[in-house]
Amino acid sequence: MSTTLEALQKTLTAEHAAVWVFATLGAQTSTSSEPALSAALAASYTIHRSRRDQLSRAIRDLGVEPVAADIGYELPNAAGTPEQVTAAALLVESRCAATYADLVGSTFGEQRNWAIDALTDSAVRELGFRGSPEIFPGLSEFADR
Amino acid sequence: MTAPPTRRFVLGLGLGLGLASVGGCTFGDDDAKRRGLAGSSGSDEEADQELLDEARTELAGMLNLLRRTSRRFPGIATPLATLTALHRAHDDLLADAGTPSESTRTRVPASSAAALTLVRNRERALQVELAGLSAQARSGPLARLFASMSAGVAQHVQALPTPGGQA
Repeated sequence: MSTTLEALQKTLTAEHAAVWVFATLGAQTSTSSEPALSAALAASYTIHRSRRDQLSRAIRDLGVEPVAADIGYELPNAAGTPEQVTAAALLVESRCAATYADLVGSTFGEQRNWAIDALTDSAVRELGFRGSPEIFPGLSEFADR
Repeated sequence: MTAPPTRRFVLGLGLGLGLASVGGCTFGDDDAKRRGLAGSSGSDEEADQELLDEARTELAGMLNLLRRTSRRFPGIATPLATLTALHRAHDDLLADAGTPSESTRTRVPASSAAALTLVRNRERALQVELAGLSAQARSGPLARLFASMSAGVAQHVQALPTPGGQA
């Protein structure tokens, strides 16, 4: 397990990427022809942006500069169709769930509670992007269970 | 393919064997106070053992309710079977690490709609319970495991059909 600060910075790195991905996917999705998908992407963008800001504040409160967003990102897969957009969104939420799970293990108290809630939230959001319920969300070592 | 977890692995989650514990320190100085491989205290191990026992007790109670509900209302057995599989998988992982106590037996309601509602409510309570165990765990890996179990319950509850028939 990493230190708490390392885990917070790693989670913030993941949130920077998630914010960019969901903003990009949302911009490529028609609200009129794909209202449900558009709404789900907007909701994910909003929550990940909020988490990004909360993490930045938490790290600053430690007297440390929060890790900055990268100059550019790549989508995890092609996103030219609603199906591809959905797949990309699912992958990002799944990766975030894994990152939050690691944060749970590297924190305690309020930080851990925050990570527990974030893990559950991302796991449930996966279902909105056609994900299936898992036995151990966020734990790649049990992915085949 | 991921190798199945060994008994030592699961015991290690709860008993701090070979794993750092993060209990008892304030945010910001966890590195200084984190206990190392040889430093996990007996109280940490005992505390996590109690959590493991409690998790198994809760899972046993939920499995019992699901079994009796499925038997009484075969029409909703299919969605309940996915919950049963979830809890069995969780319990199997903890089987050698925790000992369940006798759990409170919940009466199955008279209608399938009420039974499904009861199951949903009990599952949500279990989700909260597992999140609480995660928050309390002295071992980081055990906290991570309980949090994942809680999230798994949340996913499965979300996918349950409502009494009106829609998921």
